[in-house]
Amino acid sequence: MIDKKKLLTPKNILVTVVLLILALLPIFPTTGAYAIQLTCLTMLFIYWASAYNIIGGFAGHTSLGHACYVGIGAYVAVMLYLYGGISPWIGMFIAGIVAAVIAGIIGYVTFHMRGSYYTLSSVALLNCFRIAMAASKEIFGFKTGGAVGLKISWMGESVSGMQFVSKVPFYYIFLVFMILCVLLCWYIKNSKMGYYLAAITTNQDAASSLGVNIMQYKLMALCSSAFLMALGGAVYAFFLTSIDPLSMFNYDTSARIMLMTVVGGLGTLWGPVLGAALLVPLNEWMRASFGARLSGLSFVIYGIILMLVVMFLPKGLVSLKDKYEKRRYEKQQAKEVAVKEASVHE
Amino acid sequence: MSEQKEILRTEHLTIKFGGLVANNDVNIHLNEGEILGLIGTNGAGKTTLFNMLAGALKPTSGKIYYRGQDITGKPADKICKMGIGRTYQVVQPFTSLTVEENVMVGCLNRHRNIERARKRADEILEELGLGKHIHTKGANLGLPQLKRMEIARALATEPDIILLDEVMAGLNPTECEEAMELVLNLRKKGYTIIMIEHIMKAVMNVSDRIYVLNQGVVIAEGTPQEVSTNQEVIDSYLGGAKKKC
Ligand SMILES: Nc1ncnc2c1ncn2[C@@H]1O[C@H](COP(=O)(O)OP(=O)(O)O)[C@@H](O)[C@H]1O
Ligand SMILES: [Mg+2]
Repeated sequence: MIDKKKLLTPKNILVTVVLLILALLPIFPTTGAYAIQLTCLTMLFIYWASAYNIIGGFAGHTSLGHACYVGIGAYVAVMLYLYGGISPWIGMFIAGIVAAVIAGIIGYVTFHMRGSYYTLSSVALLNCFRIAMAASKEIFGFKTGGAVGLKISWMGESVSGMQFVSKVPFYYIFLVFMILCVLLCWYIKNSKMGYYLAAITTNQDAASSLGVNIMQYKLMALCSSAFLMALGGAVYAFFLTSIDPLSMFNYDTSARIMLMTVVGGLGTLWGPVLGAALLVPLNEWMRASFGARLSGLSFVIYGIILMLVVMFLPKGLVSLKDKYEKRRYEKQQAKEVAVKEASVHE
Repeated sequence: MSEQKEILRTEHLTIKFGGLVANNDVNIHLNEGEILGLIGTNGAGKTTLFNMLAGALKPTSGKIYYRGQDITGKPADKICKMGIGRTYQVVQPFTSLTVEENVMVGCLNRHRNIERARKRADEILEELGLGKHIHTKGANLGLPQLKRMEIARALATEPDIILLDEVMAGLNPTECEEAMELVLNLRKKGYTIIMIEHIMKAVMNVSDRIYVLNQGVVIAEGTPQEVSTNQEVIDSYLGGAKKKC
């Protein structure tokens, strides 16, 4: 049975309105190319931050090189398309599987050790891939373009080749990806896997004595996260129409994805959404305002934001709501007590 | 009682922490449906023995057999799946989860479905008298309730054997009585129990059989009556550590 009152919560109304606006935005005649481009990026980063949250938040393993899987996804899908004629719609799933397997190997080795080994190795992995891709001219005999990278040459409008004159089709692809990813995260969080990961992150020993296979669930989290990152990377490559090691295996992108999740609320469903929705436009604005003149400035600002959040809102922006509700509850309690006391005095 | 069937046994179980031999050639056995008491001074190696039985620690040498099968060195989650549940002496709640969710994690050992696990968790919590705490966070619970939640979580995994590590420590006499009743009830329901307990009245009243551990060595075994009149036990343990419930 569906309870109408439960469906009509402020949150659900807000989500519906935002989705409606997003769905209709490209149709408005006033919407310019820049708005489409910016919204595309924002939705893509919401997607990536949500995917990152599965391992970084749900499973509690910070990754500082998560763009590695973006790069793997991009390269595998593009090379399959260029040399095998395989549609990116299929190629991206192969790319996802490749990323998941590589992630699984790294995870299997590092999750055996307690501590931050996964985090450290995630940075190393990213750098290895970037340097290797820049240095090598070919893999298995197929050209990678080295440091220059690869270009997807224009073959005419094609759905199966994911080639479009306009960016609007990509806009809708990113919109659907984003929605599906958030839904998947919701599903994971409310499934056996979500409960197990929550248990693992709070008390690993207690979890395993209750029958939780720690390695299995951490690997499930990491592999699904890497798979999703790579899927996004594949579409991103066709969106850009060219890829190179530096922009695909990018440390800055990795750090931003992590930061968005932390700022929004690590391990929560809406945290990564909120974080990316705020920080992507902020980043674009900073780039437009300060540009190349002060390229280091964005890092300084990131640093300040991160410090402020860690100091004042360690559970991220989504915890503002809890704080507000707690305050209201306390006020109400105080009021009730005051009323009681007043009635006693009478 | 009908013929006793052995469910768990250890053979020459030994574990060393550096130079310290925490368990030295421990040979115990447990019969189905039994309440087995495990006593000994602090640091005797009781918790360490539990940790090996539950797969949290690997013994240096020796074997553990469960229903005739060698389970030595198997990981904790496998042992839990096979049917051995445990509680921790130092309570280990999932602090960020509610009491209900804590127990649900245990229930998910046998159920895939979240709603079924939640229903089962609520039933167990109701039975253990924690019904009104289901929505409290693990971090905000008092010690007596935390000890009960430990038991609830272990029961939730649907074990055959349940290892209780000092579940009465820190409880007041009334809570102690309730806990004793609870243990007896568990046996009635068919669980086999090993309990580590310092409170002598409780162990003596509840146990069918008792092992006494001293500095990692089993120094006595028998009925409560036999153990409490054993001279070595009196000298090493009962003489000094007699506690009242
Ligand atoms: N993981 C460990 N590493 C090193 N020493 C340990 C470890 N666990 C227990 N010990 C030591 O083993 C001995 C037995 O401890 P324990 O089994 O907790 O005793 P009990 O439960 O009987 O009080 C103690 O001296 C304790 O310090
Ligand atoms: Mg102990």
